[in-house]
Amino acid sequence: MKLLEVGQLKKDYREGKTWVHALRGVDLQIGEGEFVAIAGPSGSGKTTLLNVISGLDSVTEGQVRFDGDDVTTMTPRQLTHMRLTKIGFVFQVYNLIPVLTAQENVEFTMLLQGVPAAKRKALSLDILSRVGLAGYGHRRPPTMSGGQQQRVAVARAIVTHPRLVLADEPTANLDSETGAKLLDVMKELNETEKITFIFSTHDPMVMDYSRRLIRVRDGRVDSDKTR
Amino acid sequence: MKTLLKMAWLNIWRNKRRTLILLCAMAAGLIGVLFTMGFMQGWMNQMVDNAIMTYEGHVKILGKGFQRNPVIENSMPAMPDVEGILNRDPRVRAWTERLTAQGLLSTPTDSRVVTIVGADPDREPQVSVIGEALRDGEFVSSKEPLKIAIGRTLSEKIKKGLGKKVVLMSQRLDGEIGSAAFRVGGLFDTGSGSYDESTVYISLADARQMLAEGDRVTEITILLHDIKDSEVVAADLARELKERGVEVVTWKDRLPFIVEMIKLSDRFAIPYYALFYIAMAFGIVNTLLMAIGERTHEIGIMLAMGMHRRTLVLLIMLESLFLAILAALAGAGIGWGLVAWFGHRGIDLSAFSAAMEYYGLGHVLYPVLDPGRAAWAVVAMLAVALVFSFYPAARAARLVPVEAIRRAG
Repeated sequence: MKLLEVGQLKKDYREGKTWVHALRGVDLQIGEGEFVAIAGPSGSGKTTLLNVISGLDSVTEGQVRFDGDDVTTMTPRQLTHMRLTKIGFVFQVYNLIPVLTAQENVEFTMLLQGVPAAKRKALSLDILSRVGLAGYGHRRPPTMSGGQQQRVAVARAIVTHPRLVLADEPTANLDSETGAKLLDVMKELNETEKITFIFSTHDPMVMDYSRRLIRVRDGRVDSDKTR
Repeated sequence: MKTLLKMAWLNIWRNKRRTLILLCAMAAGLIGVLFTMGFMQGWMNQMVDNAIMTYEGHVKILGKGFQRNPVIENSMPAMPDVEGILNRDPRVRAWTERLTAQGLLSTPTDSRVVTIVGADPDREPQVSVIGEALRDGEFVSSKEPLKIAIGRTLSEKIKKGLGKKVVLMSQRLDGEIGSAAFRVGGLFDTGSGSYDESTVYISLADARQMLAEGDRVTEITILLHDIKDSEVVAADLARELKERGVEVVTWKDRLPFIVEMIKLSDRFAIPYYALFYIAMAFGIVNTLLMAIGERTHEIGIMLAMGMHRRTLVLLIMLESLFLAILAALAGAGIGWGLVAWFGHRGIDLSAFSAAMEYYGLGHVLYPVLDPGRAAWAVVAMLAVALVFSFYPAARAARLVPVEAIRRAG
């Protein structure tokens, strides 16, 4: 079953006095439970693609259907609700709210969803333990390493069991050993929880971990290989 | 909500120095507002108290027409039954009868227009400060007729001290001129030079003999335990004495100048206080805008994750409210303490003695803070913080997540 269908997707935006054609007609279908890496050089359009899929950015032309809904026709309120309930995010850096503890960061999405406090606590402690951070719940982000912070971000992204996790270069600021550990965590969650992961990356290690590698270049899909 | 409160609280301490500077500025503003309020309130209270305690009392029963035209023809017969009414009323602290008239005080070398107050020697010191204001000699007495108490200022001007003779003249009730010679028995100093120079006291019995026939009085002056009861007591007395053809007035009717001064000072104070609050508002807006600028990336992430914009607005407004609460606690605490300290010690304004006397004040001003007004000042501060935080909060809520995330964290 297709979770995400992108058809003839175009995205232009203005940068100063020039128009940038970030996406020039992308066609893509991603099924449930996939572990996909979208790779390409800087400026190839991979982050823009992720932003458009999640409704963070609008489209210039084309269709984006996610979980049966047309993302391009949704109101801002509907998009917010979709992101809150169906999508988890892991960003490249400074992912977490620095004034909250690791546990509170993990609870944050559930808090926005209105999950009761006891359930939030139980789920967050469980997921922190699954990403290897049992006992770190009380720590604030500035007192944690980059790898630990990214694992907290992953825990926050998946704790609500979203349909899709979008990870924008999650290993970019990590050393290879820490990056590998983080990918192990995500792969295990993908396999056990059947959560779909889409990465934007130019890290070869992320490409190696993924079962499907989509290469983009100049705003178009260059290759799409499943291993 | 608990997490939002925690986030708001911790967010304000992310830049401690900036927060402390803003808190100091806000607290200083509130201290300024409270101290000014205390100063003005002390000034007005002292003006009213001095006027009430020197002569006016809180409530007066006057002969018909005496308020408009204070002449002996508008005096009234004594009302012995009123004594029972006043003595039974628990709101009444003390009262006295007076027979007053405008007259001429003469010495062989000088003549001056004065207000002659025929006072009950026993009751008068309970109603006014005249007993305490005596500096030399004694107050008038029913046992020693034809004694007069005059102000020290007047005594110096007419060069007549204790034991010297002066002559009083005034129109009698029957239209003839009444006069009598009095010996100076007491010198008083109320602190108001103009009052001391223009008012003389003789006994009620002497005044009746000189000015009227029978037991007439021009006023019954009543001092209450609480000034706030003035209107109610006056209304009750007016109802009870409806058939007597008398007027019952309060200190507000008697002292329109002071009442207008109070109104005027309240009106002038509003824009003055508003300046403090406007400066405070700019401080809040500036600080929040800076804080939001520094947290743009983080706000973008929260919005991307699905945080509702109204929740973000609430978060930022809570931050502002926390700042205001902290500043209010500090400002109100220090402001209140400062007013209390000066209220006890007094502010020496003898350098401005002429002006102080003009306003019926002593040389030392005692600030007083009205809790109701102080509460309003604090509530206004919290309201300003909330209202003016809406602009930066709304700006933050209008951020486009994808653009906000691009900014460095």
